[in-house]
Amino acid sequence: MTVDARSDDGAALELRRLVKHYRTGAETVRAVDDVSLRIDGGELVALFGPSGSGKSTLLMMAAAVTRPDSGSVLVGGRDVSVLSDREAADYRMYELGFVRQSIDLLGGASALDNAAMKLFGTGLSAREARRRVAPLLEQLGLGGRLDHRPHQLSMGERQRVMIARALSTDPRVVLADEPTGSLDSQRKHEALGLLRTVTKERGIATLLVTHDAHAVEYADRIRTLQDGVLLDAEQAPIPSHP
Amino acid sequence: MRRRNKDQTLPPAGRLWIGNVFALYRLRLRHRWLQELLAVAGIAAGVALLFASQVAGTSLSGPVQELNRGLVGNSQLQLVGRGGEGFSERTVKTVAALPGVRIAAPILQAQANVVGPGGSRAVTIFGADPRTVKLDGTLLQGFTAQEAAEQETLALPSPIAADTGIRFGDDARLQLGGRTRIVPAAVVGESELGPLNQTSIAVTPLAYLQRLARQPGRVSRILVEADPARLDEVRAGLQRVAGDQLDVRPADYESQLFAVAAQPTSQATTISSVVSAMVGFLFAFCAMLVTVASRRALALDLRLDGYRPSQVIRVLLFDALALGVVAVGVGLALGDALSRSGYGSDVSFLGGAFPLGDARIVTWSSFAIAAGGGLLAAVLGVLAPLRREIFARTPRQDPGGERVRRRIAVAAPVAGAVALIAAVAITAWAPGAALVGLIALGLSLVLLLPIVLRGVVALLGGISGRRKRAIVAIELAMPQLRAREWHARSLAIATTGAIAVFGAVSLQGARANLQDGLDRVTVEVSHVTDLWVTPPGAGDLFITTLFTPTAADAIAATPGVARVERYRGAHLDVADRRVWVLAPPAGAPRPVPPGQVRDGNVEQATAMVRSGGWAVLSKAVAKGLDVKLGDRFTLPSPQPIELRVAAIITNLGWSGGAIVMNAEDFDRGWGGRQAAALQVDLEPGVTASQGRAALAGALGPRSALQVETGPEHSQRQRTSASGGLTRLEQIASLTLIAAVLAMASAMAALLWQRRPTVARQKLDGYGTGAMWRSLAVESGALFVTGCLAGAAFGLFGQVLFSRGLETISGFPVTVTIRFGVAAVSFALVTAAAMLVVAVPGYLVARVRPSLRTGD
Repeated sequence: MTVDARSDDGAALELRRLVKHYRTGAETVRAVDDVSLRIDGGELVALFGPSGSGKSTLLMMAAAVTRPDSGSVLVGGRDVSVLSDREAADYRMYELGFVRQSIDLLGGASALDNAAMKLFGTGLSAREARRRVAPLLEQLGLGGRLDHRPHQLSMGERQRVMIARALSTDPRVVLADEPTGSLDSQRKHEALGLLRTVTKERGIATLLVTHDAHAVEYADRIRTLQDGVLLDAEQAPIPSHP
Repeated sequence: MRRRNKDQTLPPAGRLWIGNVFALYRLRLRHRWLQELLAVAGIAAGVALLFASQVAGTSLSGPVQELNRGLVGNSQLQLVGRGGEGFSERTVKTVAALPGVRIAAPILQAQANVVGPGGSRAVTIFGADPRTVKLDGTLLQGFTAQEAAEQETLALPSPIAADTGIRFGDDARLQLGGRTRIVPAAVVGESELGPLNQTSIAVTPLAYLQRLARQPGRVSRILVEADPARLDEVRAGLQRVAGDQLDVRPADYESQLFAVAAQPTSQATTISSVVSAMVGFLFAFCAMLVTVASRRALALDLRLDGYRPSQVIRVLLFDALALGVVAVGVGLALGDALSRSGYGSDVSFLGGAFPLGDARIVTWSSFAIAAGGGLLAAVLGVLAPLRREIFARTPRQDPGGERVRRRIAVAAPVAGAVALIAAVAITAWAPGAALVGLIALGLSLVLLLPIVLRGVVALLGGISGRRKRAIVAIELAMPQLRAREWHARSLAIATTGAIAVFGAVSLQGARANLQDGLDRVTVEVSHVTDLWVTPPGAGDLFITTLFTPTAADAIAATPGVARVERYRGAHLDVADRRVWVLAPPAGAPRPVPPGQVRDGNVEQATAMVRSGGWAVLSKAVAKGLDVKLGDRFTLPSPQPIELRVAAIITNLGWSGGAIVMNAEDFDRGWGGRQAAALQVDLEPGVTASQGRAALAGALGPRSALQVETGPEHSQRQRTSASGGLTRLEQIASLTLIAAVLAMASAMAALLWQRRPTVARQKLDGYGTGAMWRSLAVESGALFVTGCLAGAAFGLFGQVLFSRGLETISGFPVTVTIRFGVAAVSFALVTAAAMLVVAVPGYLVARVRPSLRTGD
């Protein structure tokens, strides 16, 4: 396992007493209520929770998309929840990788172009972006399918393209939002295994938001969010395979 | 799996190479080319409408301006004869001798008809001499001074020669002043005449034309090139020479007069341009909305990946510009083809007073306005719906945006009501501001439409809710009609239909009202005799070409003829307008057209005109002379005469305005016994066709006079007037076609994106038929609401437009609300749009049941 110097100074990602409330008419919804969570470099934490439990809000706050009402999101010791829009965008570009479902791939673009899309925004030329992301796709087992379009790839392969895209700027934190939602059982294992491997090998702090019970096997820690409150492992039932 | 090493460090954020932007565009284009094509088609149609409309506007006065510039060259002033009458050529020497005059160039101008083996064409002949060539106007650029002086041929522009079948060196028949002359013709082209080759003119040496027209030693005007430093001195000198029988005018006076005469047409052009622009823009905007969903997903994706808002804007702006540039290119080509295929204003009715042409004038501003409009629609269509995704820190949740939306929801209807009240006030008290009123009415329609749409949706819900068994199609359509995610697009579709039907109903209704008014004039002014005998040519429509009626005796002696009377008519420049002056014969039963009197008493006015010394005037002419009922004024005829105002009338269908006077007064003013036509009444029992045949025989085959029955002449005037209104008809039709295409394509695209929803609903057991009907209800609700609201506002628009036309232009307009026009426009657009979306709707309804997520 290779870990760069950034992850040595304590937690790579720390959510500290995060609170987010929404007002819908006269009613106030406590989407996230005093949630604290610390993830070290090379650690994969799976976050379970039913729909509406606040998982997505938590993820958006960790991505500096949503500003918390109170609390902070520390990445390498820096609070990213107070960043300006531009700084927040730069944080997402360089320090964060966001893995979402493979249906977000562009239908008309090859695997290589889909994976390079994030790098296009870094100031690299398109050619250089493709050159840099190609080895990553090879490491993820897609070396022979760089020019294939999404409809020519299996669901598992598409998910790997999304992972490559998230890793393309070499982030220290990865947030994964239901990455196995559209995969069959075997592909789920592959995707989760891959996520664990890159987490460990790259020293990344990975927060995996999922409904998928398979994640239990791959996560270092499991936490559950219910009605905006983070439960301890003892308080929440561990999901099991269907 | 290793991290990247140091030489692979990423550059600082913020830069985004154009190559990368292009790569992002190209990658996405592969998968959505059909949507993009639809958007391109939409913008192109809008640009085409706008461009053709602009070209029609500039082409209206272009030929007259070109001709005037080409003729006057470097001259700044001119001395002009009045009412088509010339003056002595000796005046040229007097003018040339004035201090400060560099060149004094005489011109004789005559209306004539050129006849060849292929047909005839009305032309204005210019007689010029070497002094005219020295002015360096483009009209004579291909002629030497010697040719202008000596070459006794009629130089005909190649299009006229082609129309009449006359070739270089052929003898042409020239019908001039009631006589036929055989003249050698020379065909000239662009190299000699430049752009004037497209106008209805002919050129010949001055002395030759004086002989042909039997006006020896006479000229129509003298063009004067003065030393610029002594212009005022020269003007004063010319005034002294002019006395009270000639006028001193700027060299471009003809263009100014034409601008006044063509004002109603150019105003109609402006209004139709505004409607074209609105429909074209909405068309383009609707088309762009088709691609919103995929762009929204892209913007969200890029923001999550860390793209800055400025970078996302660059990516989307490239989308807009790529689309816009292609669409503008296609649109300009389409618009060009449209304008060449006759989309424009027919102003041939002005041909008797101005030399016209078919020149199509395309200016850079036409390009700029059409291209700018297309690009703006593309940019707004791409960026406006994605403001939240681009700028909001939390794109998916936007409580601030919700507040803004609520404020707009309250403010829009209030603003709509204010605009509606303004339109009502303008109709009632200030119809002269009709254009502003129409814009206010259109704005009010757009602002009030959301409320109307909500009302219709509620009504539909109520209809279904009150029944014992709910109407499945309505219940399934209702959530979609209420869904916020589709709201902007639904509203855009309904608004497109509303604006198009509103514009079309307003234009068509006003056109029909104007046509009715003109028909009435035709009956009252032209349909007053059995036969008309006139010299053929451009001046025969309003009967304004004066000639010496030597054939009157021969006609009177023709069997079957009961009475022959001289009808006087001419164009005269009064108060900077080219006015139609007509003087019916003394025995005319209704010398003052009774239906045209707007101020004054018909019987009294008729008696006053009959008694002499009185005239009836159009409102614009009275205003120009600053006179009202009973006031005295001096008519600037060749021999100025004093008259009094007996009544105020409409403009009798002549945009410059009209004056009707006693025949004897006309003879005093024009100093002679000329006629513009002979009115022939037949004996009882002789039909018009029999009379015409008898007259043709009496005049002989070499006669240059034409004989028409009263109804034939009325019909020709009616056809000419209809031609002038073609533009309104064309724009109304194109607007409706554009609306059908815009609404149907946007609706089809909207339905197509519903497939996942429909697939999920079918899991609940709904069949294809039920889904198809629900989609039809949804489409129908939008189409019917938009078009019905547009038709209702269009009825109001008819009244406003008609009253405005009557007030501004003085045209005879019958203000009637035309429900039939509204019903037909509504039914046609709604039915056509429903038919077009039926097929894609069925294909969407046929989708297999599925759990696919995401629309």
